[in-house]
Amino acid sequence: MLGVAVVTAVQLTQRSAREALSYTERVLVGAVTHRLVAQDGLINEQVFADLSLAFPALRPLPVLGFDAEVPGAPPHALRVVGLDLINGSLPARGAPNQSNSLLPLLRDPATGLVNSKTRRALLSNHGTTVELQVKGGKTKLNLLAAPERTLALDLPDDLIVVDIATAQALANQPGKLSAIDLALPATDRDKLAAAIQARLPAGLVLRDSAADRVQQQALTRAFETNLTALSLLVLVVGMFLIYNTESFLIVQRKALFGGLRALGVTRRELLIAVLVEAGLLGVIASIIGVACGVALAHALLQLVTGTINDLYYRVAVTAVSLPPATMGAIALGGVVATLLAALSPALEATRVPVTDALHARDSSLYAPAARTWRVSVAAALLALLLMRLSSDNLWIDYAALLALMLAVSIQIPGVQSLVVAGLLTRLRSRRWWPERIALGNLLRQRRRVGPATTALCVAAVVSVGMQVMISSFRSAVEVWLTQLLRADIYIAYTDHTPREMGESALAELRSKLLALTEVRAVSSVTRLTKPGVNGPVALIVYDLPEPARAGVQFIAGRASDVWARWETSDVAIVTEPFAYHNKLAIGATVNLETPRGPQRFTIAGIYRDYANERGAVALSRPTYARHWPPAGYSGLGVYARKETGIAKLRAQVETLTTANASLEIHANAELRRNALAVFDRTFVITKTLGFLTLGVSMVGVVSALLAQQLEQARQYGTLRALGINGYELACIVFAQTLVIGVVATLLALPLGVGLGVYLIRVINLHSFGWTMPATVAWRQLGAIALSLLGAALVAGIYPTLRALHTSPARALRNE
Amino acid sequence: MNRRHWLALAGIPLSAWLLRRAPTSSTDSPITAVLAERDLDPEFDRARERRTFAFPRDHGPHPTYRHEWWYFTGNLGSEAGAAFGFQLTFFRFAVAAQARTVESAWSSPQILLGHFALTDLKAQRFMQFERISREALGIAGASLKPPAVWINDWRSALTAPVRHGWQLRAAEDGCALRLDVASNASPVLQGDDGLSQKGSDLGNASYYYSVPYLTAVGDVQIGAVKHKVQGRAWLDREWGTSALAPDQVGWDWFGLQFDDGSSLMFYCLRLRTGARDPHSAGTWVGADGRVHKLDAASTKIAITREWTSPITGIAYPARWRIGIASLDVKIEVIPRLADQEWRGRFRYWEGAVTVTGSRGSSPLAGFGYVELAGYA
Repeated sequence: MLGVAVVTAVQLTQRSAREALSYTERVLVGAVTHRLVAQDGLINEQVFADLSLAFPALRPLPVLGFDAEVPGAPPHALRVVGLDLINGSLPARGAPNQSNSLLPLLRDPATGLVNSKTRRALLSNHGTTVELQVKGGKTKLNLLAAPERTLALDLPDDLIVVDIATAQALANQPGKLSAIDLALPATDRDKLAAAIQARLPAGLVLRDSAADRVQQQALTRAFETNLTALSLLVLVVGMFLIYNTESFLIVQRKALFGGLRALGVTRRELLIAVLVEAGLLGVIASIIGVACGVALAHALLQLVTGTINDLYYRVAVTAVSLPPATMGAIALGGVVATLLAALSPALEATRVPVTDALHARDSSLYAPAARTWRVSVAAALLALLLMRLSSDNLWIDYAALLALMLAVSIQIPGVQSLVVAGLLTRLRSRRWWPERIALGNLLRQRRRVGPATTALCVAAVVSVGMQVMISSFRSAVEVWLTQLLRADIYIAYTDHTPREMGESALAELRSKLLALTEVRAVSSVTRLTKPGVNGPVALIVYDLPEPARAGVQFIAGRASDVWARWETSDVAIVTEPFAYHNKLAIGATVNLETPRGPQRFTIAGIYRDYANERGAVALSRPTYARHWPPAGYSGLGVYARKETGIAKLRAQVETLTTANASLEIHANAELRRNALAVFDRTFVITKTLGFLTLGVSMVGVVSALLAQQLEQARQYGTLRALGINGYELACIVFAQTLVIGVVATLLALPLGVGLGVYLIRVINLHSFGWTMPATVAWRQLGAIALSLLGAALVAGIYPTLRALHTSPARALRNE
Repeated sequence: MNRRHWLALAGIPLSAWLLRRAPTSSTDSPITAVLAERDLDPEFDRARERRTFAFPRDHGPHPTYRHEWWYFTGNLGSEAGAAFGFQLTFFRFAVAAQARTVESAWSSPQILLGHFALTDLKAQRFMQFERISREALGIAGASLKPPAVWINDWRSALTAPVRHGWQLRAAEDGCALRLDVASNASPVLQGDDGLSQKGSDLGNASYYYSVPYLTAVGDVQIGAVKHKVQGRAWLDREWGTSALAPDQVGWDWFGLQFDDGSSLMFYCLRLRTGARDPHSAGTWVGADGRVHKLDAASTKIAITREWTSPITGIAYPARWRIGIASLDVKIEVIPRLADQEWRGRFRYWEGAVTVTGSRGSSPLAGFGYVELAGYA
């Protein structure tokens, strides 16, 4: 039941997350193929009029977006987006007189549309008006909640939609737009885009949203990658658990089965009866499991959408959705898994000789070891074959991983028996007698105990592997950020598109900064998208003065060579993912469209970058200027002189930028902290699922050990009758559970680290194209190990108590 | 390096959801939709009493009234035998009587909605296009001097004020209409000298005139093929601040032009009960220019066939028998193409029709347009 619950929950979460993403895509990108932005500053709305008239069928959409805050409230960024609510119209559904309730948006000077959750959050309980801090000024906005079923979509949280006229007034930007969105028809799209580009005044760029969309797909894939891995591994753990439970149920009633056989029930009849029972149990458990899974998924989804909100845009998808067919499939899977798992114990039950069964003597046999070896070798060979095949296909990577896990996990019971047998030969001394009893029990019942150890071990391997992957990734990002962020102060436009405010706010600021005596150097960056041979390319234009250059971490190419040619010849440096996805090496060329036709840039270096998994090409500003008209700036980095205090410099920068509320200033440490905070939140879902797996398998282990220990009740009764005391009995019980815990832990740690390395070297590389050194966070692994041992100990408590409280006479009566 | 920038995901067009074709279940025509709003800004002017019409001034906009339309329809043919119906309509709606007090070129309350349709009778195809825009930045608007209304390059402009001549231009997705329409006759004032009462409340009326017999010359282009065409067109002009009465659901409108030079306009307001509203009215204009007022009692209309849209499932009347006893007119109205249903943001049927019948002993034949609004 737990297994099914977790599988359901993961499936649900995954599906809902996928829906959240595709919803986001549909809602926010939709039919828009291109976005027009100014490189530095806002767009004059006359451009919009000229475009509309020159291309009548184009139907461009004006956008003016900016951030706002509620003054006095804890910092909580709201996004105000001004749109033309008439051209294209609000996507209303239902009768128009229903959408008439939205008319205040067009009639009132300051009314905005929000979803009802945001409205409740912003208005607390008084009135319909909220005071907003917009671009340094305060303004009042009347909030209207979209009446239910009026809009064809749900508005994301924290988004305020206003009419474009209202937006211009709120932002005090009459005549200005921050973007113009276009939906170019699929036929002749590039020709039309070129024609539009040709008509644009200088300083405006037409960006292909397809680039953005590809990035979203990559993110979608990354999410699914994480979740699929966990989902499959949980399934494996779930199977072990089911096997455990079933065998417990059968073993417990061996006497009954023997009785039935003695009364003339045939083996076949008995087998059918056992399987039917298992099937029924499976059905009931699966139904409960699916129900629990739905509940679990609600909790998980919160985490997933949190991640999406951080990385993406603000989106609210809180509904858990799974079609009945999928739920049915999962439930059916649970039932089939139950039947499969029950088959072996059921066969065992029918094979029990009638006399043995009646005497309730344990007749578990040693499993033939040769068979498991054969399976292991076959699975390992398959895994190797798959790894060889795989280049970029994640599914093959996963298949290889599963095969490898199978190869290893099937050997776990054998390894445990070896350990136990080894211990038995070592502990010859008499005073170890309770331990020897315990080890003997383990060895005799290895078919019962083996799967429990395996489940615990596999779950622990998954946890450790995830932990290793995440901590490696995090420390790689941290190292990268620390080295990258060399400047003392960073200045960027609030929304990070090279635009907003004046014509060249950052350009002006840059020259002012350079004039300051406290400033040693100023670096700058411009992020652009340019047409390349295989679609749009993210192009970064850098001004890298001496101190900034140390921040670039080359994976290939010598830094001194790169910097010697950086500004004077047509060289580019590319990020690691770019080189990986395009299979480029040093000396290869990148082809970019310039106003004078295509231009080749030689790759002089490949550098580390975790910011963009699609990759980017970087040029020096002088190189860029040789081929393109000058571009604006997206951000500046300020390097203070050694003797200057950062606080003082920051104050100076703040004075220089007071007029520009759309600029944000960050100190080095602040920026790094923010980036890592987002990173941590990104992996909350992954970590949570990892621990969930571990938790479920622990429950399984406790129950398996319980079953195994309860079987020993007779033996414990005998021992008690022979006069052993409670302490000695506890020693016997805990020695068994502890051995299981220790074996699982010892196996799980190295295997988990191996899994982590595989996730980093294979899965991460194939999905993102970036490499990172594997680092092991020993403290976290220690915590996992301790929790495993703890679970093993907890499993011993109840059987000990039970054995102590059962009178020896009663226990022996069964003999 | 702000948080949303961390994976370089900034800059996704937020407005895109507006571009999506929203699934609407509206069963209204643009007019019924806007007339459905009852809570009207009291600052709008209303059609309460008769007024003096003056042309060309009244061909231009009347922005102090809530809504207004320029409704051109007609039947065209080429020498090579191609035949077309066309509709080019400009609706002006105001969401408020006054512009918002905000400093923005987008603050105008005036919205223009354009419907352009071509019925290619040879190919049995009905093509429909819609545009909507507010009066801003010169992209769309309605002007008085010269009287014109436009949404981008869709445009109707008065070219010859004396002869009541207009230049009509519309093009979209490979379909284009370039037409000059003109009439020597004076506009026909509908209702009570142009005051057309739509319900029993005072002010629940509009100012309404028609130019029922325009000769049309120009060309129709479909894909690469350009057809030189001529034919007859009809202009309906109406403005007001009325709402549909609560018991009114829609209307059937007929604008029919006969070969002998006479024409018939009749609108039939339908009540929720299925009955015909007594405010239904029309006019017969004889070939000599004499105008005969028609009312609900004098004009009998029988529906003789229905057509159900295979796409929307809405059933519309599809053939009519109209009898006007006082004029001894008996005619049958037949759609030239069954499917001329508007299926965009608004759903209604507006299409070219053929008319046959008789007036007294002489036969009557002609073409026209019918609008069926408020069917569900």
